Amino acid sequence: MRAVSRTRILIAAICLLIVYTTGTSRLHDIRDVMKADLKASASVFPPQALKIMAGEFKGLLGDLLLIDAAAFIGSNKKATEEDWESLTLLFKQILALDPFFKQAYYLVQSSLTWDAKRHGDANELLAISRDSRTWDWLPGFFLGFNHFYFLNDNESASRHLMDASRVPSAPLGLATLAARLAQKAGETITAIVFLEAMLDKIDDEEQRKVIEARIEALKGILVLDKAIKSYKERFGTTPEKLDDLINRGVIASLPKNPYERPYTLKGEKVQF
Amino acid sequence: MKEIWLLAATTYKEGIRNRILLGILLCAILLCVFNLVFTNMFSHELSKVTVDAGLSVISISGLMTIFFMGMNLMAKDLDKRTIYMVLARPISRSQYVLGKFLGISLLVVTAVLLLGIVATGSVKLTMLNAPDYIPPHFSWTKFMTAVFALTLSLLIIVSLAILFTVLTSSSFLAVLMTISTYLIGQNAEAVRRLVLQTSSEAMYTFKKAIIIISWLFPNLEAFNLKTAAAYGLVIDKEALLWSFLHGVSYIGLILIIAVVLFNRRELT
Repeated sequence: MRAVSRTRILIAAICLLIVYTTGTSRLHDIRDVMKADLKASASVFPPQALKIMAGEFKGLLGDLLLIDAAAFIGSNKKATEEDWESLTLLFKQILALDPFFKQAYYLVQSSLTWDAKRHGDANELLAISRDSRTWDWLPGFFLGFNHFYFLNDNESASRHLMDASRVPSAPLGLATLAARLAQKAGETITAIVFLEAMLDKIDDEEQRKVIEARIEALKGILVLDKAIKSYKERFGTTPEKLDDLINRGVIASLPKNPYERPYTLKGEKVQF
Repeated sequence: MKEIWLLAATTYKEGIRNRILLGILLCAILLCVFNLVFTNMFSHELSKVTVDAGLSVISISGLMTIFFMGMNLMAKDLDKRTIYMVLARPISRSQYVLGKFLGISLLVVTAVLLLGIVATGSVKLTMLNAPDYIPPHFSWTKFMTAVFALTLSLLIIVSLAILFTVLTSSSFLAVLMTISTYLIGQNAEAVRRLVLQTSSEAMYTFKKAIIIISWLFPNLEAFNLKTAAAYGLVIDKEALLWSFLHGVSYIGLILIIAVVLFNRRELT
């Protein structure tokens, strides 16, 4: 009797195993290639409502939502406007749940900025990360980059980069880049004041030399800008080249460029 | 078979005696209140929120019925040694396991049915109050399909609960293991999809591990049709069929393992 029962169990097990293997295999085939369903997580829940509902599990829920976002971004499917809308909401939810999440702002920058070209949304989300991660210069850098590269707004770009460069771990190049953009935006004095403030905080001799050179270059530009303005007032036109300033007696000599190359004039802008 | 039904009926009656229906009724009232208050917090797609909330409450109540009631019904037999009285009758251990599964499953189905009716009512009410916010493709067939899929996923958890109760001597441990399996089952698919997309060599072992996990644990996400029901999205019939076969065969296999383990277990 027991032997019969065992045989029955064995047959049932084999049959079920066949069904299970076939069913699960087909299920994987179908679902593995399914487009990540963004609507599942990016529901109509406003980010702040989700935060309240998550209770003590905000971090965990944020992690799970990020997996959804990452799965969607990695799915290589052509996204529609509606998808980008959902993804934006998803990021808003994630950052409401966990504003410190590094991977979230990385994904925001890679997907919303580069792929979706939703710069306004991306910058809004990056600002949340920047304000929360006070030790991290990258969100501020991304903000600056987006304003410079995508929005052609040098003034805002330099402001964001200046803010980012004040973060203790920020690379030195960020400060000089910010100053360059400020100068491009016509904010040479701002750039000089910013770099002089930076200089006070730097002890490393090599780094000081880099900043001092940039300050010198900017001061040279300031002198040239004033000379060009004076030239225009006296002769009614802008000089074609910087040497015109000397030839027509506006200044005695051109300031020294610390970068061992002459200053150049492009349009009305002096470059170093 | 008669013995299995007898045991299932006894387990069911015991569950009812434990005032489980009262708990479910409470859940239903809370669902109604929740729906009335909660949906008013939204300015768009009110019906979608009601469907979400309704199906979620059914799911949560089903899970609570399993964790706090169903598992206790079997663990109590083992803890209090009342199992001897049952097994002293002409009932085999296999029949005991199957009977308990059937009884607890009936309790879960009752809970789903009761809450399903309330959820349907509250969705209908929201639709009547705010007809402008009904998703354009909403259909009751999709809603019912979602409830059916949800029930099947709950039955998978019942089978796992039975297995873990048989496997461990502590009911607490069994609940913990069932909850862990539930969480893995819910998220394994998303993680699997994510790792399958990466081609990094460093992820090779992790990838293999995730693939193995996705075969060992049930894919509970495949039974989650809440979004499809809420937005009236198209439900892939083929995927639904394979999900059904995956679920039913998984339950069968888990019960066979539970029967084999229980047959070998020393009841002291």
